[in-house]
Amino acid sequence: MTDLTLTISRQIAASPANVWRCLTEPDLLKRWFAPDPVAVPEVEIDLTPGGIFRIVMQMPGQDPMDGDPGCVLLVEPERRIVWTAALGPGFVPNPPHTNADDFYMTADMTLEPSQGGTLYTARALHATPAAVTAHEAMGFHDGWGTTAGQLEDLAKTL
Amino acid sequence: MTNHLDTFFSAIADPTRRAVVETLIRGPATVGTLHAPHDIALPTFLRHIKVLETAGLVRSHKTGRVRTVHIEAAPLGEAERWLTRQRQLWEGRVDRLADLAEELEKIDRKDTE
Repeated sequence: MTDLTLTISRQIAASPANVWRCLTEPDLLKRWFAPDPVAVPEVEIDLTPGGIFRIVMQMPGQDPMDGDPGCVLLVEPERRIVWTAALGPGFVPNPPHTNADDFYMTADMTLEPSQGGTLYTARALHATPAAVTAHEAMGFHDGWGTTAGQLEDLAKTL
Repeated sequence: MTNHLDTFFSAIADPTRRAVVETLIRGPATVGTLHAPHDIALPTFLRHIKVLETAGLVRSHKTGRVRTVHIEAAPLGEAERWLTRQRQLWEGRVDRLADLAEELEKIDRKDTE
């Protein structure tokens, strides 16, 4: 059975070194990871397998969403980083989510030098293999409609 | 909605139930037809149908001795919307990441000039 994976690629007019900085430096991660108006007050990242990966998000006027920290799984400088929310630092499994809308995610991001810039590919893997069955069976194509309350929903799924 | 989605995912976490949902997406079917490909006892199979009904994924009605099962589209729609949101989220991330990396690149170029 297929797993539930989203794959997104983009040619970026910047060196792999600069894209890598954006993926791994807390102050830079804060600037792109969450959609406006969600803020990212805190980021912790230890670039070694088993190291902490923690991103705290905050909706305007609400308390920060400070969940269990994630874990870095793989680091190939300027080439690839993989981290997961399913494990905490030291590969210790995180307790199950209480909110059923929160599915554990693993992010796998690769960089390849390309056309003087970088070909960036992000794969988001989710722990809901059953969902993709429904999705494929329905002939789901990528939808682009912006739904009401989307941001709030987004914030919940982060 | 959260509970609904939770029930939905647990309902289709089972391979027998998932197969039933996949068959029903193509159109309504009788319990007999749905049961045929599965090598399990009918009472066990009926329990799976019951789980799907409780989750609001299917409904069934009896005509004479034949029970026909239909899919309910709404919960599948929720799963689809969840996936769409995830994709929109990642598309937005890539846009912002590209902008930021390209900004850094310009600063680098200025520094070397």
